[in-house]
Amino acid sequence: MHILIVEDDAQAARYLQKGLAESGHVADHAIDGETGLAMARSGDYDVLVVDRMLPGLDGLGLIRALRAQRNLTPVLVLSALDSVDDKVQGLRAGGDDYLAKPYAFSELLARIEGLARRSAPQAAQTKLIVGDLELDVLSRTVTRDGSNIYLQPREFKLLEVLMRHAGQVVTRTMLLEQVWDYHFDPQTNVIDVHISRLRAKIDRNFNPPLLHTIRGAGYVIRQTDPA
Amino acid sequence: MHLLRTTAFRWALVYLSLFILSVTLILGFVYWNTTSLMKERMDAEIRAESAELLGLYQNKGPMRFLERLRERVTGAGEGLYLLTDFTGRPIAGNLEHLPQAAGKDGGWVEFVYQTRVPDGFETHAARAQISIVAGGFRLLVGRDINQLRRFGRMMRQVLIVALILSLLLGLGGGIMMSRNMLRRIEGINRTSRAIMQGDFEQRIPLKGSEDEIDALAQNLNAMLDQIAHLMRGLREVSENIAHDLKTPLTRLQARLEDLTRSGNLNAAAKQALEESIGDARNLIEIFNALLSIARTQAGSGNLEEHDISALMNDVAELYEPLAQDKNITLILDIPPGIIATIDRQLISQAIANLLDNALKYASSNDEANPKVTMSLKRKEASLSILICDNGPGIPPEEYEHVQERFVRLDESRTHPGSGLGLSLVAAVAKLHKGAFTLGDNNPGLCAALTLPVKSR
Repeated sequence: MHILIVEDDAQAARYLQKGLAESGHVADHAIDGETGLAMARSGDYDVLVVDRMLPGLDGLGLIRALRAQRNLTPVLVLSALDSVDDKVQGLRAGGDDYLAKPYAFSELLARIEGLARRSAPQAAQTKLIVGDLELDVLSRTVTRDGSNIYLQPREFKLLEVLMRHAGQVVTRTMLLEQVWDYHFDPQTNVIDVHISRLRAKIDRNFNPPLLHTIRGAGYVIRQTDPA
Repeated sequence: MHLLRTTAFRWALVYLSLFILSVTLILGFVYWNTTSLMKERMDAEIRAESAELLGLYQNKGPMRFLERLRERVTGAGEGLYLLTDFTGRPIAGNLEHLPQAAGKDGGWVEFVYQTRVPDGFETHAARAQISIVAGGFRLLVGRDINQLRRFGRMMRQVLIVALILSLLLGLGGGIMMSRNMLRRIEGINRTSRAIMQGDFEQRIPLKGSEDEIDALAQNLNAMLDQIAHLMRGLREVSENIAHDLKTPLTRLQARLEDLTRSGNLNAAAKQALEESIGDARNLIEIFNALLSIARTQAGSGNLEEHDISALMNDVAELYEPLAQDKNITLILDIPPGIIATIDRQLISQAIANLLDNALKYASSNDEANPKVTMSLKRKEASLSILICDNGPGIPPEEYEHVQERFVRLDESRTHPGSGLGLSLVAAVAKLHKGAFTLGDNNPGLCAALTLPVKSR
């Protein structure tokens, strides 16, 4: 994936570039808003990562300028401002996702990959399949290896989000946002308990396990163990 | 505030009492002085006339005396005269008989008599001196005192009317004065209340009269401007701190994560790195919680109508598996379909914090069955979200204290947490103009988040 990072903190940008490279992506860096806008216009990027506070043209201005030119490259907004209002502002300006600083790299990566997938043309999938696990969005049924699995509505939604991101890490914060619509982190890690419930239903009596925990990052649903 | 309980009105009452007292004293003095003066003058007249008539009798003889007496009776004067023989039979004069109160020895007497008026007779009061002429003959010289009596009555009426008038005027003036005062004080109170509820742009209205209340209002407004200025400065500083702290924290986390991925590390170094990342995250969480509390305290929230019953059930559902894992019975008593104007995220977070705490402490109850109750109570103008556990509870004197930032009663700090959870709940309650209170659940703690709602 080709990614552009627009970030005025050169050191932070370097770590980002390095991390993305290790994950198999190519990342360019622009140090300010004007350079970023010029590069975003000329280059062919899959995802832009834009810091909100930039010298000169700020992040939201950059996104507005891009959108005015019908450039629809998905943008992840990074910001030290993390109130709900700030997020809404970022998304209104044309950002596709919003991540508050300081962030965990895994969270950033999960969100970048989520954005790239969202922008890829795909028919609205009504049947999600990972290995022998099948989830039908319309009939709201889940089967594994041909046998029905009964899930609570929330467990169904949780599995749906994980399966829509099959093969990608989904962080706890992302799950709280997408499954519960909560933009805060509970003090106790309640998501883990929900995941282990779900795991008991879809993995316990089957082989191989599909739902994996990625330490310090989140969860991923995929056929092979991520090692 | 009730009008009659105002300071202005009480002062008006004090002044009114003083005023009435002085009016009474002055008018009373005038009344007493005037009437006694008039009476003295009349007595002197009567005395002089009696003396003159008696002198005439002694010096010029009875004939001259009688002649003069008759002149007086038929004259235009207002005097009353009567001469009687020793049996009391009238000889001359304009009275029918001596008054019954008259003694043998003479002296002063007051009595009533019938006087001729254009259409009949009238009973009038009179005052007279009776003197012994000679051989038991008695002479009465007197005056009609009806006028004097009427004058006294009039004076008394004037006094009473003046008292009533000054009482009414004083009360009316007092009420007007206190209402005026009250209106202006109320202006100051209204502004203070608005400011306490977070609208810091409010200022006390000025009347423009440049009186002492305007001066007070001007000073208070200047003070508010100063505070607003300081608060703006503080907010800027904290936003800058937030930004400046987050930049190095972002780098720190990125660097640590980068190191863990680099691979060529021994197990001890890897563990130390992972613990450092954990610490960095913890730091960020505390920092975010602090910012979130500060923002909630300063902000106005994103208030919309929500089904609070559904919202509570959602939070309960989020925590239900955790409760089950800890063998805690989670009891819900939530009537359906209750609507309230709230910030969904903040109220959800507040309920989550309370439930989180309740589950934490209920599980430290080893003897009885640990249990947490979540209930919603609708009253006329408010609703209460109650989250109660049967854990060890906290002493009542700590109820206020634990709502402060970083306060944790758990000295050993065996439970994870930053001590910011309840502070956020208190800030959320305040933002909704509600209240957050803690109480005893016998045993355990009962946390109540009360929110005002429009009455049905």
